[in-house]
Amino acid sequence: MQFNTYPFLFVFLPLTLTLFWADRGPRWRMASLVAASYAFYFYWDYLEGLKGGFTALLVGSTAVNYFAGKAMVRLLPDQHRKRKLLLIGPIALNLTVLAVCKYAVFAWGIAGDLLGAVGGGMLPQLEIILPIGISFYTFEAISYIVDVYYQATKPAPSFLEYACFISMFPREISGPIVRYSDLEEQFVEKRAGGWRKPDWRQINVGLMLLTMGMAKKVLVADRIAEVINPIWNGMSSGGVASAPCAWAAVLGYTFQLYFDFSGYSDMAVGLGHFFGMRLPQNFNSPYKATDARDFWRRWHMTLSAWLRDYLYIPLGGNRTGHRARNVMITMLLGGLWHGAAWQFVMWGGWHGLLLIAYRILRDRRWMPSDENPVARFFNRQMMFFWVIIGWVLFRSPNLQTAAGVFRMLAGIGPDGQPLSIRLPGWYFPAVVACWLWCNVAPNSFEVAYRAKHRAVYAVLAGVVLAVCVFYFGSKTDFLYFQF
Amino acid sequence: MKASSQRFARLFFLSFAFVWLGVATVHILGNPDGLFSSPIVPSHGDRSWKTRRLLALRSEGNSPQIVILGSSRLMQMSPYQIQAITGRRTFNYAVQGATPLEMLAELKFLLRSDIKPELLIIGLDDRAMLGMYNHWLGRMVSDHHILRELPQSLQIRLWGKAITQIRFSSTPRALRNLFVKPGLPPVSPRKAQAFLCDNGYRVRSNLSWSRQVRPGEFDRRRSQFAQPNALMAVNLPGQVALDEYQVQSLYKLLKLARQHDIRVKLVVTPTRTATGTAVQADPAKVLIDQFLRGLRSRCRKLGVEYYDLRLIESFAGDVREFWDGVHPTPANHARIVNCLFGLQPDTRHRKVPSEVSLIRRPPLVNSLNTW
Repeated sequence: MQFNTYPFLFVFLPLTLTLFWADRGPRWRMASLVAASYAFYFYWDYLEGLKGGFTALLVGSTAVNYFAGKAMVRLLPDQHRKRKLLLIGPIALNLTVLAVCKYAVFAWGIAGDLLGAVGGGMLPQLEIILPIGISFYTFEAISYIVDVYYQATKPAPSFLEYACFISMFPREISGPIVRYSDLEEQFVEKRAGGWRKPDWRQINVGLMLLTMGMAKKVLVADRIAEVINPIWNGMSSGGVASAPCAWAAVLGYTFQLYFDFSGYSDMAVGLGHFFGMRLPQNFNSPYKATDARDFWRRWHMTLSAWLRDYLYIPLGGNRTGHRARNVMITMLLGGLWHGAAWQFVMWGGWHGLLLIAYRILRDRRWMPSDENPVARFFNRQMMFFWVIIGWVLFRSPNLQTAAGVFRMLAGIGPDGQPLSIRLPGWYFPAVVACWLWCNVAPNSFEVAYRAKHRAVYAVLAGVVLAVCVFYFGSKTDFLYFQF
Repeated sequence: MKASSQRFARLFFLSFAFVWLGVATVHILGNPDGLFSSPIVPSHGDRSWKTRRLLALRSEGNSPQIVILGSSRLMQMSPYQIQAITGRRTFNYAVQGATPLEMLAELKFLLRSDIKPELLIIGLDDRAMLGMYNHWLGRMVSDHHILRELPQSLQIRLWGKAITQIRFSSTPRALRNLFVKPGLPPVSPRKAQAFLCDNGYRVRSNLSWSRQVRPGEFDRRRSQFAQPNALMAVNLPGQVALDEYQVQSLYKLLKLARQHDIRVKLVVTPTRTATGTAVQADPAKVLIDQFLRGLRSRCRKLGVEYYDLRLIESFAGDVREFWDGVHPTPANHARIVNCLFGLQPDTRHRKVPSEVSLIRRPPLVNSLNTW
């Protein structure tokens, strides 16, 4: 069930809110949120998954990690080995499940290619349904068990609370990637009576975020997608687009991806507010970044923080003299997290190179300082350009298509059937408007949290959300659902 | 702070509700996309047009004595030919995507409106029985005469579905329609894709006309559906089940007709031979065969005449006379009708106009010039 659907907005959400805010205590609130979250997950599982199998997987993963955390804390200080087992065991289990569900087909394909290369024949086709949200909740579970191990957080006092953390439906499917420590204090506050009555100020922030997120997704991202999807489909099927058309498709995807994913994140955070929960920000105007490090502090912030804290730093970070290696490993794996395909690995590697290169440029002062506004503008646009290059890899279904698109962008298109696609008159002004929005306008968080909640904004937001609802009929899936 | 915070939320919900309800109401009344049964701007789709036509015939005292029910596969079964054979006024009430559920509602409407036919010719599609037409059910919202014959819970569900199809971009047109009823776009019969005659017969004008002037194009189109791999588009998927609701609706339809002493000819509609052959090998065929065996014996008990015309040989059809994998051309429909009335398949009848003559000289009342 996606947020931009009638069943969600008109049935599931009102019902869940009514049950949640019924005149009961904090345990009721937590239990109803968990029940709603499992129902939310089961809805997808029943229609497109394993008719409950993947929900059982989620519950199972929740139980394993919760009880491991509980057991860890009960051990004596000198029982290091057991503690380590309770750390490694669940992590290994989490990663194994993720690997099987997400990467088995990829690995099988590589094995098949290798076998074919040595004349060993063909392997049968392998098909595995990817459980929705598994990439996200696996990382959250790993962060929990690691934090408990290093005593960065106390384990959840009850299974209910841990289940609430892992399965909370606003971010169950596509993040933000939340750590237990992000919510621990909030749970304590709620248990102490913070959930007695709705906090209307928080709800208003939620309404603003939900509306802005919905508008970004439905009115911007999906409209761009309608125009560029035929071009990408054509290029992926061997068609050759002219350079302007290819650039239109690539630029369009740059904005489509941002508005789609950040729109989803805005809605997720907004929905969290309806239940009194403050979820972390996931995007902070990433196309205003002036270098690669700045970009990764603004794009999918919760993922990049997770990679930094649970992968880059344990590898040694920048302390062991292997900074470039550690950056590269982190980014390659970060790319692989997005999808089981070489183009995602290449995309991660590309950003790894950017991080390394920009670090050198900054350290040696070979690039202008951001203090100068002209230089800052130049740095921003350069970074934007490199990011666009990376999105070509991200969007292409395979490396051959990506190579072809790069050639089309350079005006030296490969051989193939020329695509004749006419772009609508509004498209280029819309792309310019998107660029301005990303470079000049405040982002949704800045608006929702800092703007005064005036009556005119309430009316405007209500009108915008109502208009968005009428575009539900022509929706596309959230792009990050596939991860 | 709390009062103003609640005020913000209240204003938000009020403006949301006002705009949403307002736009929905404008669309329901202005009906720019023909989704609804608006008193101001009726839908111009085949369903509502044919229903309005039937009511007009009834008020003229010309209620049909033979009615054809079915999906698009029967929309070109010629009432002219049936009338020439039987001498009875005939109306083709087949509509796109019709399922037994919809046909039952149509019969109830006919009976309620005192349009009781002597004979019903019902076309049964295998796909309808597998629930593959259920996405067409929402179209019934455009015809309140039929919609009200459905169970209330289904009416509400279909209404909900129709509302989700509202396109915001059509709102200006919807608003305009509230004040100025739109005229029918001026389209000549030759240029139209299709149009309906006063007796409900559907003329596929663009296909028939292009066949007349560019026969090679028709042959090329037809040849696409002769290749085995093209059949996948019309082949029945392997993992399907009978839609029990449709099955029960069909039984109720037959029973209701017989209870009112209406003769029924039930026709299982044909497909191209090659499609039929491919379907023979499909696992779904086992389901259909089993179902039809039961249906045949039920028809016998009810006194319904049952015709299994899935294979072309059963009505001496011409494999070339299909527009695609499942829609017979008028030539094959003529053979089917002859078969239903016990005549030689290639019997010709006078006073049965051809498609081209209907395109050249359409009836006075047709869907191109009448709402």
